[in-house]
Amino acid sequence: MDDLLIHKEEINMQMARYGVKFGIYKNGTFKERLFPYDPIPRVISSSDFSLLERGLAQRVDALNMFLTDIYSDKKIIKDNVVPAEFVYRSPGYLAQCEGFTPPKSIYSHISGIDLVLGKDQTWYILEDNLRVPSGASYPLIARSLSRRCSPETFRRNDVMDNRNYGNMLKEVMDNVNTGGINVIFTPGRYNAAYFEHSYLAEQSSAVLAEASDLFVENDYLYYRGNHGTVRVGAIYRRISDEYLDPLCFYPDSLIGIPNLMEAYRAGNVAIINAPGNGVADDKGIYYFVPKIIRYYLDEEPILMNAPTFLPFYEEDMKYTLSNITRLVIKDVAEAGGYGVVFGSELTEEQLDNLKEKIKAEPRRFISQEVIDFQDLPVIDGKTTVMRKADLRAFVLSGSNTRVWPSGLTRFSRNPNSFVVNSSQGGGFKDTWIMFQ
Amino acid sequence: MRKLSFEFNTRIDFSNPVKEHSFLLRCIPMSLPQQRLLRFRLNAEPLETMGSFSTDSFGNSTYSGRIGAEHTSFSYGITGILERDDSCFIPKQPAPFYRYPSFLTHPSAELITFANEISHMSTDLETAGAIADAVFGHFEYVPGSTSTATTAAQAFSLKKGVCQDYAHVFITVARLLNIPARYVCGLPLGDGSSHAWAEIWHDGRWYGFDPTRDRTADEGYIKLSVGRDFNDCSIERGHFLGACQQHQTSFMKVMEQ
Repeated sequence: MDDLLIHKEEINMQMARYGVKFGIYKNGTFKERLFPYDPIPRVISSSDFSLLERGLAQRVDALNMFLTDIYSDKKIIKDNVVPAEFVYRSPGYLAQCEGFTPPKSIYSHISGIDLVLGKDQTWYILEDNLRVPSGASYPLIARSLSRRCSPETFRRNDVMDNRNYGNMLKEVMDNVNTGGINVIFTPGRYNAAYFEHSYLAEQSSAVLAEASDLFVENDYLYYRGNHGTVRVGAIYRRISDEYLDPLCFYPDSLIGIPNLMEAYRAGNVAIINAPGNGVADDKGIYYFVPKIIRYYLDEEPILMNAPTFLPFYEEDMKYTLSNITRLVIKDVAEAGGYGVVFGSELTEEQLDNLKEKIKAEPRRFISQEVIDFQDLPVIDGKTTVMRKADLRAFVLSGSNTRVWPSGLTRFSRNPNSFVVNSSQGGGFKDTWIMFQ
Repeated sequence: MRKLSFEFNTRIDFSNPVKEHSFLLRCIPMSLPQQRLLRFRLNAEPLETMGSFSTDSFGNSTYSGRIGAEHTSFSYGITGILERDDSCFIPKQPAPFYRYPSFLTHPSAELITFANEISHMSTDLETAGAIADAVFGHFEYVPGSTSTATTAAQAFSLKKGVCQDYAHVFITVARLLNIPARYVCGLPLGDGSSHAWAEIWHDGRWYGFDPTRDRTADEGYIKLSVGRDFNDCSIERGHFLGACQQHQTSFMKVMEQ
């Protein structure tokens, strides 16, 4: 492994050369920057991984059943397991998706589930990302570069190969393809994850397309290529729901495909991930996921949520208000590490303000116990420092639900920060799943 | 029961040629027990292919298509005959999303105060009448004072607007008072331009209110489309390439047979 550490700069340079970048909007302007790679991998044992595999597949299967139910029969609401409030007031709920079930009842084909490993050696689920979770390409390219820099490392260590992500993605697209080619639809190079879009297209032998390459006619989606116009059977879109179709959602979207929703509702194209998934990865719905698993699968959840309270319920409101200084408060409408406040970091006055806000709009907030999660070593100059890190596991729902034997480990730049979202700075590590 | 003949035509002129024009129309009257479509003829031009018919999540009939080549105008129209009979209905529950705020109907503090001042009557139907009165009293009808993107809250504080704004405020207030409500685009008896009103759900069915005219929307009203607000059910939506000014002319006529 020392071999790998020596190559840190070389790998970072290679990544810069390949354009492994991460874009971010700061004060309204778009900036691209490198996503720093740390060479010390996170290592997950095979027994830990098999627990994660079972737990994540269970969770994603249940969430797919939840989405199917919400947009059709709504049994879970009628049975009073999830309050209607939390579904219909969720910004991710789209009435335009009512009354239609996507091919094979798969809504979340690619799920990015964020976990942390507590000091108690327990894995906790922090967040589900069922819309367009990004990040798989970073460990993927880091691995292939490190294999090139230091093939010895991978001969000596019994690490599961992660270079099958492209094949897994292809299988996911083929599984729901309604006839025609697979396309990865990118909003273009000014997107935070443009590098990833092009890389994944190459890896999964899909066509990388922008809005001007695609059009809908008579309820079919077509790609206008150099060699003529061909039908598209599956579109892995990397833009958010609201911009997908200007005739169905935001009318002023310039990056969408007019009437794509018509083709979708006619059953002539699979959209990956399906529109409307935001209702299931809402921070408010997160609280209900263990109940959702029990409801649809009649099984106990294998992986735990972080202990979470909903001020919507009176008892949880009381608990939140009296323990606010040691809780983390999250605004359910925000994403990407925004709207997350640690009670311990607030002044008296700020605490009072926050309490008033929670009392005024209980539905808007959740509170959670701060999990004391494990630090991971990160190279800093010539020394090693300890930083908070999480893991984004990628769960792919094709003919089976499978967990990619790798994942994106993100660490915080700031030694005191628990927020490890890539929008907030920080870097990443490769994630090794061991055969043993 | 009333038998109505209807005619609705719209023409959009573009100052410069446009191309790659996709459109989505919701101008075919809804098929409902209360509104039986006896016959209709739809036309749109120019057309390059057949286009396609469908039904959206709100139960509206849609017709969509695409014109790839350059053109300088787009027109569509529908004529037909239908029967309206409000005594025919199949009792059922409203879609749950009609109880919650939508993009254009998020309540402001001002609207919440306004809603709280509406006196609760013995039935939701009577309360809805009171809402229609209050909304009618609040607004001054001023064409051009708002746009299709104006929210209920914006129109409310402006105190001016057109039928769309009256309907949005009515819906926002009804939902605040726990009455399921929805937006309706359609054609009322008479001639002129298309209209918008609102419906509230009460005792197994929808009841129409026209707050712009402070009256109920009876069998003289033809429903083209419904939704949570205007965005869900606008009669025409289009997207094309080309920099130009658009000029739209529209005419409708509904007569009793």
